[in-house]
Amino acid sequence: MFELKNVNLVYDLGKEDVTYALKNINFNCEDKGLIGIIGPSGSGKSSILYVMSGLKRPTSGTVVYNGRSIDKMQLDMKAGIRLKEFGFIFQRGFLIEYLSVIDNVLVPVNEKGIEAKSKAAILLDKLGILKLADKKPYQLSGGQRQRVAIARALINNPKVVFADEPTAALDHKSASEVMQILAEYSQSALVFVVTHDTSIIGDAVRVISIWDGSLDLGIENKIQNTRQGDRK
Amino acid sequence: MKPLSAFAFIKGSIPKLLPMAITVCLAVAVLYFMAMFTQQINTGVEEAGIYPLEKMSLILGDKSGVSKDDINNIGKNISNSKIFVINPIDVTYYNIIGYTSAFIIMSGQKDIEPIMKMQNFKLIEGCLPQKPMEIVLNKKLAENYGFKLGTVIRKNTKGWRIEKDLKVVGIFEGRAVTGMGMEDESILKPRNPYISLLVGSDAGSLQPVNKYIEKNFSGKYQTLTLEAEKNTLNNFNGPINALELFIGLVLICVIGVFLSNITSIQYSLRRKELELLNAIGYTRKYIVKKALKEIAVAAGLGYIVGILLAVALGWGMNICFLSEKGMSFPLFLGGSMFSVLIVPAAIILFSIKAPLKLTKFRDLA
Ligand SMILES: Nc1ncnc2c1ncn2[C@@H]1O[C@H](COP(=O)(O)OP(=O)(O)OP(=O)(O)O)[C@@H](O)[C@H]1O
Ligand SMILES: [Mg+2]
Repeated sequence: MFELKNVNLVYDLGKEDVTYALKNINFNCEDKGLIGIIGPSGSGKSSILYVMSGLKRPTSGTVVYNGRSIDKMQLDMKAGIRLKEFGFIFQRGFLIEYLSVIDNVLVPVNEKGIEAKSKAAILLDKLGILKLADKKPYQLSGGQRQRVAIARALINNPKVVFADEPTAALDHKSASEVMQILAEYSQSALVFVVTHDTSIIGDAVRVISIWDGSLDLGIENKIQNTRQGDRK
Repeated sequence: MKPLSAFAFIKGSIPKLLPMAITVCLAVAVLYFMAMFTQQINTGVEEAGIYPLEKMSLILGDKSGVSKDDINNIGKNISNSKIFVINPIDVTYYNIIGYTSAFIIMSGQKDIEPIMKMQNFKLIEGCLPQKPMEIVLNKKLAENYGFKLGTVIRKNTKGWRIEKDLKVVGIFEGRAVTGMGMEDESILKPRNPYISLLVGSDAGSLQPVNKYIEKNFSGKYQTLTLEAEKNTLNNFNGPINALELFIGLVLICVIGVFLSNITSIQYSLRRKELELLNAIGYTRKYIVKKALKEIAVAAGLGYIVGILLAVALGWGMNICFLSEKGMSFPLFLGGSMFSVLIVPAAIILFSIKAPLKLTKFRDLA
């Protein structure tokens, strides 16, 4: 589904201030499953999500999604794909404070009719927060906010979910609940989960380790091999 | 549980734009109130304009310096009119502004009978004024106000604005002039001490005279024609309108700069929200459109409330103390309502800068 070829991402902030966030990334993946992306802070985990989702243009190399080069697309077309085929979960939820929970979930929906509303309600119910539907984000706990963010990411039935440290603000129990939901969704879609906590990605079919902008293939293969062994 | 209507998305952000809505509201209220105020002054000025004396087409002040020859020349050219050479202090014009806009000529001449005759006024009751502050009234005017012989019109009589009490001593029938009286010399005020030519009528038959005099004498003498009088009124409107325009522009610029900063700050605080919308797949066009809509709604609400505020203020002033003075603010001025729209329009223009700038996501999208 995704194919990254020789992807480099350089933050060039002027004369001497150049950061190589991604270095020569090559990587393929299939249509389904949970993929963990691990690595220390500043290693380029968020950057790789941004590049894949079209939020950042790679400095060189190509990102192919379903046979189309994301990096060569028009802005509006990329936006359209993000809206309809991708779902995003950010580190601290990023909810719109003046909208109620259900309205936040409906933000990515273009036609906000009754149908969308009942779909949002079903999602909220599944995530165990239906009774909070009319509350405002500031009335929620961190775990509840993150669930709202998940509902918002899933409302358009995305083919790919990008979750950037979805559990960073959560205690262990909430974290594993959130991960369980994502794991369940990954049975029918591709889910990327960025984290530096390896313990939460036990359900991953594959774990990519990134180190200083480069993929650490050693770890990837090792973990991948164990997973494949497990599945057989 | 209410679904997110397209409008809820905008409605929710309106409270964030409250400072803008309030500023628009106040600016609109001030400007619209000023418009009502100017309009009221203008009506006052128009009411105070000259009512021509019929047939008395030309009055020459003795200080005017118009030569005998010229007087003769004018006389030859205006067959159906008379020329009077008078001391300008002998006839003063006294305006009484009220609902019916009564116009009283007060004369310093001891005998106003010649003027009455000249005007074809027919005394039908009482006598001519013998003493200062005695007046004769047009029958229609007297009936309108319910005045009879002997009635004293006082300073506080509703609809009248006079400096001294007037006593009605006679009633006449006639056109144009609604009353005449004998003036107390101590308050005589000549309209213009150097008045030279006063063409007092815009009646059709006298138009050629007006034209003739203006053409031949306006360069030579100080000429006061009805047109000139109207121009004076217009000149008076001019500065007021200019002042209003100036205040309006300054107000808009100051508010605009001030507000564009405030909206900038408010949108900076909402940067995350804008970035979020961009990240989940809304185009810059959509996001700026949403911002434009919420700004427009906030400015529009401010505009409506502002107009209502000014109207309420004008209405309150009308019933509380203007009406007894025979004045009132005109409350609904379509033209001004329209031109005051410049405030929300300018504010929208100034404010959209912030979201436009903030959605230039550097390397996003
Ligand atoms: N907008 C930017 N401008 C310049 N440098 C940036 C920018 N964003 C990220 N970087 C740099 O790129 C590198 C990779 O950043 P990235 O955000 O991908 O790391 P990360 O693995 O997600 O880290 P964390 O775990 O802290 O979120 C870092 O060195 C960071 O300083
Ligand atoms: Mg990160």
